[in-house]
Amino acid sequence: MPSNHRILLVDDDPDIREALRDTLDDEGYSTIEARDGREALDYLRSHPAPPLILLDWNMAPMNGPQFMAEVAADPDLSKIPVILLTADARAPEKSKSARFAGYLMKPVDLNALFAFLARYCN
Amino acid sequence: MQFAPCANAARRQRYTALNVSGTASVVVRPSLRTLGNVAALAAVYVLVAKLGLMLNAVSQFATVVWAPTGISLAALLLLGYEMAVGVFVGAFVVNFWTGAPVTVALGLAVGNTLEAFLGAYAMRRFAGFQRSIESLRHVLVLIVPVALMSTLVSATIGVTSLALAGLVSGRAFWQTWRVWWIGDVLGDLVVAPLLLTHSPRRGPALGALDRKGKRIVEAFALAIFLVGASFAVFFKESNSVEHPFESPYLLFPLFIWAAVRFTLPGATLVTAIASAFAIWGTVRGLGPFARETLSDGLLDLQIFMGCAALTPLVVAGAISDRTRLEVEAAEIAARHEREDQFRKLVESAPDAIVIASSTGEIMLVNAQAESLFGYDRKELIGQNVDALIPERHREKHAEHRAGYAKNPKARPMGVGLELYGLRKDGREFPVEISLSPIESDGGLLVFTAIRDISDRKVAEQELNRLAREQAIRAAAEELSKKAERRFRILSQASRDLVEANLELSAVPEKIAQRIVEAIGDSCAVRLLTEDGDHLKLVSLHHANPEALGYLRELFGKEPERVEDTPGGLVVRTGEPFILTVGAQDVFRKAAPARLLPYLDRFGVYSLLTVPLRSRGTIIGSITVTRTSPGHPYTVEDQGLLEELSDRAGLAMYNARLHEDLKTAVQVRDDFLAIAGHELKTPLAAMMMQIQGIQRALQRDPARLAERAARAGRSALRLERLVNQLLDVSRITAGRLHLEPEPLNLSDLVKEVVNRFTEATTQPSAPISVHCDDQVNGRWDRLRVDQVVNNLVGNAVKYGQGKPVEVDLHGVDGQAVLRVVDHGIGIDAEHQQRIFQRFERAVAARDFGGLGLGLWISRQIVEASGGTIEVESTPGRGSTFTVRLPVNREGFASEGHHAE
Repeated sequence: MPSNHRILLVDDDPDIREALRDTLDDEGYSTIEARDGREALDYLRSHPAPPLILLDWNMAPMNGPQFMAEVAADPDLSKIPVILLTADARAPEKSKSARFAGYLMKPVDLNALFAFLARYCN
Repeated sequence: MQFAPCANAARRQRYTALNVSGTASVVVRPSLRTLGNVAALAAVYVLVAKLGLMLNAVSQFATVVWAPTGISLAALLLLGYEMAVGVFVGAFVVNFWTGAPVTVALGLAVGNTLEAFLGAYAMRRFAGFQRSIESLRHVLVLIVPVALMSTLVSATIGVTSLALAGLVSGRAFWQTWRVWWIGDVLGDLVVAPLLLTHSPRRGPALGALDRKGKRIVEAFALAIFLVGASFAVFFKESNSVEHPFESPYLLFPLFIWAAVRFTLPGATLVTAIASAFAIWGTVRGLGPFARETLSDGLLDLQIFMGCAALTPLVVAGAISDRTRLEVEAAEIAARHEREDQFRKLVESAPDAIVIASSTGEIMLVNAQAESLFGYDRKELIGQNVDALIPERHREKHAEHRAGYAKNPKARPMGVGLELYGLRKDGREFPVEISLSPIESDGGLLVFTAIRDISDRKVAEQELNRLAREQAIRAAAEELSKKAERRFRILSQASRDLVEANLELSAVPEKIAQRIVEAIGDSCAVRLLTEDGDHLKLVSLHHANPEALGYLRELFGKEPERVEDTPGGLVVRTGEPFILTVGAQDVFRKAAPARLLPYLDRFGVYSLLTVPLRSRGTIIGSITVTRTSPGHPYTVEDQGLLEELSDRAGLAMYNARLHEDLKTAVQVRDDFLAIAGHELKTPLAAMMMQIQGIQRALQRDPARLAERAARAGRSALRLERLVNQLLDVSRITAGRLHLEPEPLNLSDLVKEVVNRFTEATTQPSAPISVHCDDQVNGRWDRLRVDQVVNNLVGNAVKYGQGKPVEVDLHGVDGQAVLRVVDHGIGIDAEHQQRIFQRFERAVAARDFGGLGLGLWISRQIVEASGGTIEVESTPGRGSTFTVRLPVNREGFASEGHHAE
């Protein structure tokens, strides 16, 4: 599997991760899962950069915005596109505030997800 | 009756014939003085008698010029009967000296003394002689019983004594007797009146006449004429009257002149002078009385002089009487006039006047008194003043009257007392009375001016009533001012509290500020802490910034134990404490020691502490002080402060309610947000799965089963959440029904734990289980499952992947389940809260879940008769312990404890 098909999935809810993992598997992508920003950062700093990060907003201990701040401060990481996953209706503002590449409303519209994948992973 | 005041002092002084010196040494000196007088009289007697005898003595012892008789009479009259001793001694000495044997001399002395005594006696007895010859009566008595008759005694005794001694006899007896008698008569008629009208003790009447006659020029003219006439008459060469101007009768007009113009003193003086010239001339053998022998001449002269002397005496006496009568009449007229003026004055006085004696007998009243008391004047005069006094005051009045008589002076009566008068018709009326003493001939009189003050009383009462009304109005105004101030303060306080806008922390600040402005220099608001043992200073105001800093330092740092705080007593008893003036010492003793430096430095003059109540419960205290002396706190201030405190308490209660409500709303809002998220998450997962299933249907049906199963699990999770919500609604509505059944709790616990270990596909915490084999009881299987599931789930969820221990033991009829994790733990402040509905210790987004699990668990455990509690150390993990009572039936696990 090409490395540009390995998506970093950051969400604290196992069901959500499972659903996304299943979906991405079905589409030929592999996933690396992290339960919060901290795990995600740990992974990023010890592995090649993934082509795309799907990031939940509310997590613990490190939540989405904190993760984004860390990433922004790291020139190696700041180029990786990050898609915001959220159920919040204010997603558009949130995505702008932290320079997200885009956002996906939960429940995720698969066509929108595939569009992002097509843009950043091919 | 004479009412006019008179010169009582002069009147009271009594003159006696003997002693008028009136000095303080009256008792001792008279004897010496009398002795001196006696000696002097005896000496003068001897001298003058010898002189008379030397001129011409008949039978050696008798002479017509015998002045001693007059001197003796005058001495006895002016100096007293004691002078008789002087007369006796003088007479004895002179006769003995002249040659009389002792017995004869004694007889002569007796006669002379007796004569003087009788003469003096007659003057006193018949003429009422006092100090001098002043009246015709005096003159007539002097002439007849004294000069003509008393002298008979002396002459008779004297000549008889001589005769008995054989010194006279026959014709010589009669001759001698005649000479003796005439000498004595002349002595009484010429010498005695001279002395008795010129003595320094002569009476005031004579003095007045004397003064009246002080006409120097006239007196001088009279003297010239007298001397001229005397020489012309008594010193002419021939004894025959050749010229009318040489006649002895020439003297008569001068005598009359003197008598008329200079009265008795003038008459006696002129007579004496003329007599002296006559004797002188006759002795020289000149004048109309020159005879062959001197004794014949002198005898004739003396007979002439005796007759001549009568005229001026009698005339002067008569004139004296008339003059005196005139003076007296004038005096009486003057007195009457004074009396009249006095009466008029009394009548015209504006007040009723009653003049009464010191015993209360009414002497005089005026018309005002008549009309005031309703009596006729005639009815009142002679009555006792008691008639004018109400019965009940009469006894006292008599006492006062007696007191007044002892110390009479003008003064108002009954100062400070209400005095009343009594009318004839029995009515009483208020009076004002002033008293003045009057000295009168009849003794002390009391002049009483009485004023009816009924009108004034009415006016006074009216004034009093007005004054009272004014006082009441002023008091009412003061009260209304106070009430207004109180209302203003309270309404401002209410406004402040409204401005505090239901914010709990702002209330004490606002109220303290208002209290300092209204009634104090400092104000401290303290609130009880939750444990109820400490008071925390929540607001402090002080007019003095330095004192404020000091108090902050002292009280502001830590909550203090109630008993260490100034307001502590009030909080314990619920009774206000007020420190007013004078209690400073007590206050110092009661105050905490660390407060003393503050008291020394800034002082507390007055202090007031009241409890702060919220819905009847004491929640703190408000203390207010005044530091500068002057206005100690009053009960009114206390009332005001209590009122303010109550308002603050109510405001705080409302604020607290408001905050509770706000919190409740916040919790609910948070819950809804969480619930929304929580419900949405499995939904999202489910929908993604379903989308995946749809795509898989098109491409790889083999994955269908797997993904459908996963979608089903999300659906289950969703169902659990919905069930929880339903549980909450059930429990809240009181519809949680337990269905107990025999149950081995061990099996249930193991089953739940197994579910976790099997179901957990994610990396999870290792769970170890230590259970007694049999922990039997009767419980609702599903509900207990729910509890265990919740606790184990939480332990896994918050356990940070560290081992979770679950153990279950049957102990003393209880099933004790402990679920221990070593995860993030729970802060102490959250340990109670987590059992509340919608509460959780950590941020919702961090861990997920509705935050209902522990609340539901607690409801189930408590409904089963058990307890649930937590012990936790943040960062070290938590231990939840559930104790469930074992319901007897089927329970057989005791003793099966496994360690």
